[in-house]
Amino acid sequence: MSTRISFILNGSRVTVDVEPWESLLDVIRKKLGLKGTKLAFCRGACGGCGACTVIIDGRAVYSSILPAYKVDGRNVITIEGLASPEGLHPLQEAFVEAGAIQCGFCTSGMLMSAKALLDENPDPSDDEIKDALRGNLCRCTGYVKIIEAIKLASKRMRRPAGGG
Amino acid sequence: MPFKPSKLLLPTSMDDAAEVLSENAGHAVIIAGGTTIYGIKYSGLLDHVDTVIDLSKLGLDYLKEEDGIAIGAYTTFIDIARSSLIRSHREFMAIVDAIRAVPSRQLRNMATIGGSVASSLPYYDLPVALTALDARIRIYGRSGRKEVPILEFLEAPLKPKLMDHEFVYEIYIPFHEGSSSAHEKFTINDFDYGIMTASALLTFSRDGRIEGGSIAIGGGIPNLVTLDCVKGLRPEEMIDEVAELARKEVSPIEDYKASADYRRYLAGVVAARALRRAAWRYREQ
Repeated sequence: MSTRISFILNGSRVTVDVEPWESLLDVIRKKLGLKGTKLAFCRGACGGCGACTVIIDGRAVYSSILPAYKVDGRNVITIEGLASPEGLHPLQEAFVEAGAIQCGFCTSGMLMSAKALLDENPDPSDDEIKDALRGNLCRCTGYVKIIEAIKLASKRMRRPAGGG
Repeated sequence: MPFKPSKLLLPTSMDDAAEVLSENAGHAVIIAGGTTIYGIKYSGLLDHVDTVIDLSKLGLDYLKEEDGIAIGAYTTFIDIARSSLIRSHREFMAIVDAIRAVPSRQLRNMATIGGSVASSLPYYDLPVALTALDARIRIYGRSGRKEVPILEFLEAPLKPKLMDHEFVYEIYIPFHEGSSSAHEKFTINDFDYGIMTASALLTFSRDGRIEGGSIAIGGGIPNLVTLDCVKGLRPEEMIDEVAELARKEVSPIEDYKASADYRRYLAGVVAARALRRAAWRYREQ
């Protein structure tokens, strides 16, 4: 028995039929073809790695354990919604510059957690950044450069464009 | 057959919900944030389920004051931890600690108080804090409303004391004047359930002695355990005694994370830490 849901995905309205057991991640990747959000070792039974993180109504959530029907009428942002036609999001630029990416598998989830944090708290402390990333695992970088990248992006986003 | 429910029901009134639960008894599960259900979907425990019942249309997402705090079952951890109703009372800080003990921001954004309680899992943090705070579980069913003390409600792992047609709609936590509380969790890594956990609620007299209070212990034990605090002592005078009593009262499980003996030892450690922190919080905050 599928349910028809309609929601805003990266700024555009989408309508899709979903089964009660389907996760939002399955729907985003398989039905809507957006492959930037990752599924890792948990097979959709959360191990807490954070690779599947998306933002719903301003809050970071695990899309692999969220039933898709629950996003009916809500606003969903995935990694594909981060960059604009003008270029990369400041967080993406900062990740590249700071060397916060190695294998890249965790990166989309890290960026979504970081975006949810900066949208809510434009000038987070180190502890606040660490707390926001507790639900995201990276097995390559050791987190230091990721934290540096978020601080760099936070600084740039607070400063008006073109300012010193 | 693995967990793959074919039917989704979204009742729109409390009576509808009780009716739908009763009609689908034996093959349905209530879903709130979904974090527990998805977490155990490969365990085989949900293989008989073909119907998911979602109560999110009942408006159970709220915190309100009523000679204590009443929290709707579908209120998320993050909304509870940020609520000024909770944070303005020292006696409720064990709740904030317990939510902070959930390592992932994403899970705190998704998990709900009702789901946490109705999962009836001793290694979940929030029910331990709620037990120390003497919370009551408000239940709705075909015969109307009723209220059950949380310890009685948490009958066995994954088996709360609920009839087929009943569901948790609210959690009530009484005020505890002149009290403070704290929750402690012991883990080996950041992203794990508590190997042992404890919450302490302490009520003080004006001269800083303990008037009463309780300590709830959870983690790797089949059922939560509570200890009453000795009246008339200062917190530092009872720490050793509490630790010893905690070790005596628990019957821990043994698994790849920790032996039963180590868990027993930790029961004393977390009980003492919770007590110290609740006492510190009373003096300092």
